[in-house]
Amino acid sequence: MGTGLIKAVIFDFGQTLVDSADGCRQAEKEAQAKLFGHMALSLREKFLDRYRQIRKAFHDRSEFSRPAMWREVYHDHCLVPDDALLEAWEAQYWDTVKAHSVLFPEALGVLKALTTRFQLALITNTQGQPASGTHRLREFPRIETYFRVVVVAGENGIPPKPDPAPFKRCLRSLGIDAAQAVYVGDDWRNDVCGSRGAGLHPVWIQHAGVKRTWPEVKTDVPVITRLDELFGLRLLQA
Amino acid sequence: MEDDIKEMYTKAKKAFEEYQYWPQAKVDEVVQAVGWMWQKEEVRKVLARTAVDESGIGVYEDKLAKIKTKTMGTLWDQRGIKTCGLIEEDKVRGIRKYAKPIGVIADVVPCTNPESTICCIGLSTLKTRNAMIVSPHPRTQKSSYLTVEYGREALQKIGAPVDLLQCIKNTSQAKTQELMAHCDFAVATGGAALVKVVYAAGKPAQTVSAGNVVSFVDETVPDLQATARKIMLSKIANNAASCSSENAVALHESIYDKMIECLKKEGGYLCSTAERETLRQCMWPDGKTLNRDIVAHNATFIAELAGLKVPATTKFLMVIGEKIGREDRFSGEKISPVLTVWKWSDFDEMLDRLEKILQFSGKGHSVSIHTELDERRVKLALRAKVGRVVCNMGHTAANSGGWGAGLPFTDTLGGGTWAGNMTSENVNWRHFLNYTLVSMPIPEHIPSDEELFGDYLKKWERD
Repeated sequence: MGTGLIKAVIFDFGQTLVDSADGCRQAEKEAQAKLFGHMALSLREKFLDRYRQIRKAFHDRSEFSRPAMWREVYHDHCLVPDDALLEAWEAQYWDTVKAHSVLFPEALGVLKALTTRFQLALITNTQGQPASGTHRLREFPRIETYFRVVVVAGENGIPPKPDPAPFKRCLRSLGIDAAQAVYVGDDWRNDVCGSRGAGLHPVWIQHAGVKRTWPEVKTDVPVITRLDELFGLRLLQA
Repeated sequence: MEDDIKEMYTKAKKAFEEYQYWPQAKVDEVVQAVGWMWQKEEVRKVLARTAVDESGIGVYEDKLAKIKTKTMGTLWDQRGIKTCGLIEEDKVRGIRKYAKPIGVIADVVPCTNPESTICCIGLSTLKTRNAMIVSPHPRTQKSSYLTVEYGREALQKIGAPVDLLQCIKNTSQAKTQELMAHCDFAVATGGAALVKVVYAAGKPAQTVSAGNVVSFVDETVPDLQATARKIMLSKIANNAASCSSENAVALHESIYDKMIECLKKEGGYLCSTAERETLRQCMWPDGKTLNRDIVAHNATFIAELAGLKVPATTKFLMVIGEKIGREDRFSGEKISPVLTVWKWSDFDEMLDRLEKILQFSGKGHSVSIHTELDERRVKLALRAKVGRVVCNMGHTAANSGGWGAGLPFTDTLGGGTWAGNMTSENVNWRHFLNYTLVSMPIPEHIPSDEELFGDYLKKWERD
């Protein structure tokens, strides 16, 4: 692998730099309870099965709008949702996520160290917030300053990852070729496959402290369990 | 790309452009080919099993029978009907009427009948030289997709354009909306959620009304037990998934006790006041939304879910009707083997109650009556704001077509303007045609005042 060729390290945001797993889990639980109650059902497990299937289908399509997903859950149960209620629940959802989100402890140190040797950038899929420009990154001004380029995919006409477009847009802004960039992300499909498809060098981060089931795939992509393990990768050594 | 709606529409349009000029004989061969495929036992078994397994609702055996009945019935209603080219000529008025297809029709299909709805609408759109793209319900997309695949196989066998029938494989509300935006016409047999999507698209559309069938039984019925049996069979068919299922019986006071006993003999369980309240809390946990977990499930499952102890032989649950409207949800549609029982002594007073019941739920759909008095049938027909009055028959066995009734076969029942629909009829081939009238000169005749106003002028004079 071309050591010394790498000019930029590009990061994903959620579950890569910021640990919001507990927040997302909590927000999901609250949302599920609200839907279940409002839909007036009896069989919770049956409902959750359908909810999870629909959520997975949305994730697989890189669709992140919570109200759109919830609308589909109502549709699936032959019910018409109250759009105003869904909007209110969405605001509460992101409040919960925000309240439980923290930077991974080593994140700032890693960014600080890397910035002396590489251009840093960030490509994140919109989380489906109601208005563009309201990505959760804004809540972490201390890390935002490290990035020369920030691409929020899925809004303003930029297709979401794994589409190659946001990766190419970022590379253009950095003025480098795909082979000169490492991309660090947690999501197999959106980050690893997406960045590889665009010609970047993917690194798959599976944070050790995060409770999560990782897809069982065989891959030659470097896998790390902490951000500071990036320094041990041959790719990033001088 | 899977389910590229634009591409599906393009393919459907191309198939339609070829098919729109086919002559009647070839078109009739097409509907026979597809109908033959759908009524095959091995095909019906696959479709019925898939539908029950993936949705968890309905009854396999009932679906098996229904797919056959609806397919054959739709074909029977179409036999000998001209839908291509010149279909009528009125020499006196100098008018020739030509039947024309519409184009590509979006068919939004419900989870309660994910296969038979496609059979009825599919045969109707093919008979009228249209193409159809099905938007299945997410719960039953496999069975709907398979139904269309079998139809395509039949089209291929006889060399007809296979893209006359297509189905979205992995559906979503967004795809349904996109389909609506592309298609030339829509027919939606779903509930309120789907109908809302259809109307939002702004395309001409056939939609349906919610059912809430009240079945009158009066003192002239000669054999109450036989009537109770008809009602039971109709009520429990496919676990009451049909919008034509009886939701209430209205019994004349003189036969009330006897009829209740007859219904009990047929597997009805009459809930006590306390049990009624327990059931109500299960069926409408928030007091207004029908619990989807009870829809089209059998009576013992619902009783168990509610925490009621009923005999294992119970086929349907009965509750006494109390109030009408939101304050007593049992007065509305229940989509389950739960039957509300009303008592009446004055037919006119019960008709007043019926009006209120339908105003709350089921306006435009249909009602049922068991009587030997034709004047009551007529009075009911004149008073009730519904599209159909089914007399002396199990309602589901007749309302949307049956071998012992003359109503057209369909799974799509219009509720007229009462329900916000385009038609109050049973939707079939008639509803998928445009007509071009060719008008030739005829001898001019300008009517005189006498011809137009004769009777009026005789009575009221010219001033």
